Amino acid sequence: MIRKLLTSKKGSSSILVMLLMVVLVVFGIAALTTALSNARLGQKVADRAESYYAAESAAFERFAAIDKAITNAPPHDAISGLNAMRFDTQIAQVDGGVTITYETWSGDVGIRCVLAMTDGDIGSLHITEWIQTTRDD
Amino acid sequence: MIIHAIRNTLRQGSRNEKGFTLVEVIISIAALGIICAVLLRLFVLAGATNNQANDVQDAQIAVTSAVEVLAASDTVYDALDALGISHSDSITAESFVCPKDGYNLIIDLAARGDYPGTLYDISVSAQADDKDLAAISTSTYYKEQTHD
Amino acid sequence: MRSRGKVLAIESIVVMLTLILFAFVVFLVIDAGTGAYDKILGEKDTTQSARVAYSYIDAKIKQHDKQDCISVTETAFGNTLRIDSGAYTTYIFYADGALFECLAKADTPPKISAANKITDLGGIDLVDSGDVIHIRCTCGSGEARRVVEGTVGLRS
Repeated sequence: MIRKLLTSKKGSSSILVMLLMVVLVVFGIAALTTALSNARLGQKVADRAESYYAAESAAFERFAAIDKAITNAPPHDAISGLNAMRFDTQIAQVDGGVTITYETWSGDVGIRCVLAMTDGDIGSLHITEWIQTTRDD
Repeated sequence: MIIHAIRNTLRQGSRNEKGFTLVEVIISIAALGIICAVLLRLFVLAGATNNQANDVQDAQIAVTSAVEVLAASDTVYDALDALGISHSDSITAESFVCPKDGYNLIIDLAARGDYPGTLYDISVSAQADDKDLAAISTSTYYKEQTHD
Repeated sequence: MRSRGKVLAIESIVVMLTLILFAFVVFLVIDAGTGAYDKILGEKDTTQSARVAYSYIDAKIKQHDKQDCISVTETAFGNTLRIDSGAYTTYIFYADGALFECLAKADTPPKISAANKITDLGGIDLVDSGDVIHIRCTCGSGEARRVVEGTVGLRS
């Protein structure tokens, strides 16, 4: 019975059509998978950018707050204006000036900011470092 | 298989029916045509998905570039000049549209807080056919620019 | 009898012709399928190279944004991104169809023999506008040419 079935050539073109369909479906799925992986990569890039700019937003807000604190501080005593921020901001006195270091994070992406200003010149506050970091670093 | 079929049909008075029949092949071609029309949609979908992914990634770069210019400039006016956007002399809360190839870049700026300089909330998005391809929201502080 | 033989011959020829048509259609369908897949894959590879190069330079700049550390300079390889970090300098440049990164001692020019290949690339253009660096990466040629361009700002 089986031998008869195997040696029979009836419907062999239908088998060819089925094989061809399998080949086409494989190609189609491969093409769709490639396109979907491209879309997933784009989404990953967008998510990473969102995290970075969220961290940067917090960093600029802190910069603005520091600028305000220094402007409102007594003359030649900028550090006293930053006292309220000491617990999450590193303040160091260097030759003739002050450096202020802080970090902001959003998920795995962070920004390490270093600001510097000359003693007695509150208008001299400026950014010296603005470095992207990740949790692995 | 084909040679066997030819030999058999050419044999005088042969009633051997092994091999392909005309009906069988015609039905196979018809079935092939119908199934191909359905499977073609798979390839069209793959192509469309790929094109959309490319458009989204290009828009993401354009949006990021605009945000970078806004963040790195000394004042918001310098940034808008660098982006080629005309503006008034005083910006507190305003929206700008910058046409690019294939989409519109929309920049929303809103000043907030009370600081020596100006802190802006920035939202930049790339829109095509009323759909957001990419969008970024952030804030930037312009120390050199006094709050209006 | 003879006419019956003729009918059988015509029938067999028609069957053969239909078989040939069937085989031709099968070939066409497979060719279209492989063509579509090749096109999607090829386009993805070309665009990805340019995007990888752009992302790499973007990330390098953001990870080393210190005052007076980043600049665009002219070297033997043309437009080169230069990142100064104390005793060493990192150069990122295009040469021999690829993007390279070279870590050299400060004030030493970059050498391709000491450089690491980042990705295959068609070309790169860097313009330093003071506060921002414009980056333009190209990959592929002719109809398959892809350009990825953008801007990275220097906050410091």
